[in-house]
Amino acid sequence: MDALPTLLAHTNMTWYLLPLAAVISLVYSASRYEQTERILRRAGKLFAQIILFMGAILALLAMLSYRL
Amino acid sequence: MSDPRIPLKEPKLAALLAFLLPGAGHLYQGRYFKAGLYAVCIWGLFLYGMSLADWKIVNAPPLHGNASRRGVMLKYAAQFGVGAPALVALMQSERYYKESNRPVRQLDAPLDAPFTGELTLRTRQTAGDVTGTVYLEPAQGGFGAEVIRGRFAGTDADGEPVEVQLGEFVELGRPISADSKRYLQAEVIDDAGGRIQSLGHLHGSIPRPFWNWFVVPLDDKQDRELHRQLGKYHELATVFTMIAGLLNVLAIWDALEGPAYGYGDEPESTDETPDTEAEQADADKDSSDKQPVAEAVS
Repeated sequence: MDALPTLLAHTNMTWYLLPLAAVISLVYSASRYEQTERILRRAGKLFAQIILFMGAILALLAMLSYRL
Repeated sequence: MSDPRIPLKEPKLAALLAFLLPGAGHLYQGRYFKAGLYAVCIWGLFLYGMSLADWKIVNAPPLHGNASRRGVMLKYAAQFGVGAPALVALMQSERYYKESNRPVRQLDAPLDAPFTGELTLRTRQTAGDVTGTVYLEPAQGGFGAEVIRGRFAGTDADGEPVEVQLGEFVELGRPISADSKRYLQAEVIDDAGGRIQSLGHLHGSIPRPFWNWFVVPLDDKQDRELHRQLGKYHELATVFTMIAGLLNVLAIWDALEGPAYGYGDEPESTDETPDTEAEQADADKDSSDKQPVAEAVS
């Protein structure tokens, strides 16, 4: 159990976005449709949109803070 | 109106179940895929957030008075969506803020518990770590006051047996608090010959029962300590538990009214551009298949 906090301390917090975005995409899509295949397809699309959007914001912030 | 193919059964009961235990409402309705999806996603997110913060991140505000702690209201309002744990937190808040929950200097009944801490004896002029068991009981002190007396029996850091008498000034932490350890401090005495003589001091902690610390509100000192320990992971744990609560609101609504956009076999709406030409062709085929039915109905 001691290894977990050490592991967490060395994990970049940005990676937590992936499971969070996956969960949000799945639950949101499940609340929109009933059909399993449609839920999964739409969740995949939403997940990609979230990651792309956040990636764009990250790139913008990185660009604005370049050489600061 | 929900699609008749979706078995909502008793929607209000399903919504209540979905609130209490994410996924349970859909399980009751026989919507097993969704039950599993909601349970894994919402419970997973919530419990992971809780574990990141040492199971102390859900703090219900006091129901009566104590306005200074109402700052936790917004955070708790989002976490409330997750149901059972939030309700337990509310119950714990009610217990925690009771007048009777204060540091204990008198006991109603004898108490024995495992103890870890430090023993300081004047004769040795040193402090040493000790582990063992404390035996405490109510007693009559000077001037008829009710006090706690008892003894500690255990071993020191070298494994040597230690047994001392405790008395007069014994204090136990409050019974209910957001810490699995309950502090104990006591004066070490020698009452040989009927005259009480102070020999030193014992301080440390005894375990607190699970239901006396789980999701109990933090006091200011504990809150600061948790922030210090976790740093940015405190915020992360808060966000995870809050989002889990908010997502369950969608699941509750789904149990009550069915999915917002329909069953899912309808053609995709025009604002959702199909990814491939094949999907476009499927959508066109679906709409052309349904056209005669619509016309026949009209």
